Amino acid sequence: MLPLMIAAGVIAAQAEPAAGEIVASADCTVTAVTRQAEVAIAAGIPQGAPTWPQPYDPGDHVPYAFDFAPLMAEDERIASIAAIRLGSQAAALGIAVDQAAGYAPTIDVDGGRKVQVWLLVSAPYQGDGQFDAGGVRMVVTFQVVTDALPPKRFERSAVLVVRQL
Amino acid sequence: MIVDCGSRLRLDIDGVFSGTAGVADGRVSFVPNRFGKSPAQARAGVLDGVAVTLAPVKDATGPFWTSRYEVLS
Repeated sequence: MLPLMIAAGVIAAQAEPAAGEIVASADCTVTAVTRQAEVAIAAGIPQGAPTWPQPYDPGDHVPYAFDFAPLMAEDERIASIAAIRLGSQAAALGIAVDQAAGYAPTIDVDGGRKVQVWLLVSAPYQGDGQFDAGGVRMVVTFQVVTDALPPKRFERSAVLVVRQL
Repeated sequence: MIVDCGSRLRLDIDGVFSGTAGVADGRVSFVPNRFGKSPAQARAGVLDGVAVTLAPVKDATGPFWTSRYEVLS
C-alpha cells in the first residue's frame, strides 16, 4: 500500500541519501549563488534561482548536481539531505526524482558539497507536446544540513529546462 | 530525507480548465484547455473535489499557468 500511496503522490517518499561519486557533467551542475538576484523567472520559481546549463530531454536518464560550496565554510560538508522537492509544473508532466538503487539522491563523497539527483519522466509523458519548442521550466529545491557546529541548513532552488533535444 | 515530486489531481476552473493538474508545495499548474474566459480572471476552482481560491499567473516562457491555492472552508 505504501508504494502505491507514494506513486499516487498521497504521501512523499522518505529514504536516506547515500554518499557517492558525483557523475553529473559540468553542464549538468549548477552552483549556488551567494547573492541571488531579484529577477523573476516564472510563477512558483524563486527569483534569481540559477539554471542548469544543460536542458533535459524528457527521454534522458542522466544526473544533475547542485553545488552548495559558495555557501559553506572551507571545512564544512553536507551531512544530510533533508528534502528534495519538485515544482507543480514537474508534477503536471510526470517528472520525478529517481530513487531506484544506483540512482538515488547522492551526497558527494569527495568534497561533501554537492548533491546529485537522477530525474526521469514517466513514459506516457515523454512525448507530451509541452516539451516541444522551448519546453518547460521546472524548479528543483534542495534542503541540506551541514556538519557545522551548530549545524546549518540551506534551502536553494535551481531551474531545469525540460524540452525535446 | 523527504522526496516530494508533487501529485496530479483533478482541477476544474469554469471556462478555463478541466482535467489533471500538477500540484506541489501549495501551488497548482495547468495548461488551459477551455476558452470561455482568460485564465488571469480565474479566482476559484475545484481541486480534487474541494473548492479553492486561485490567482493564476502565466509562465513567461512556457505554456503553464501556475497559482497558489487556498482551500475555501
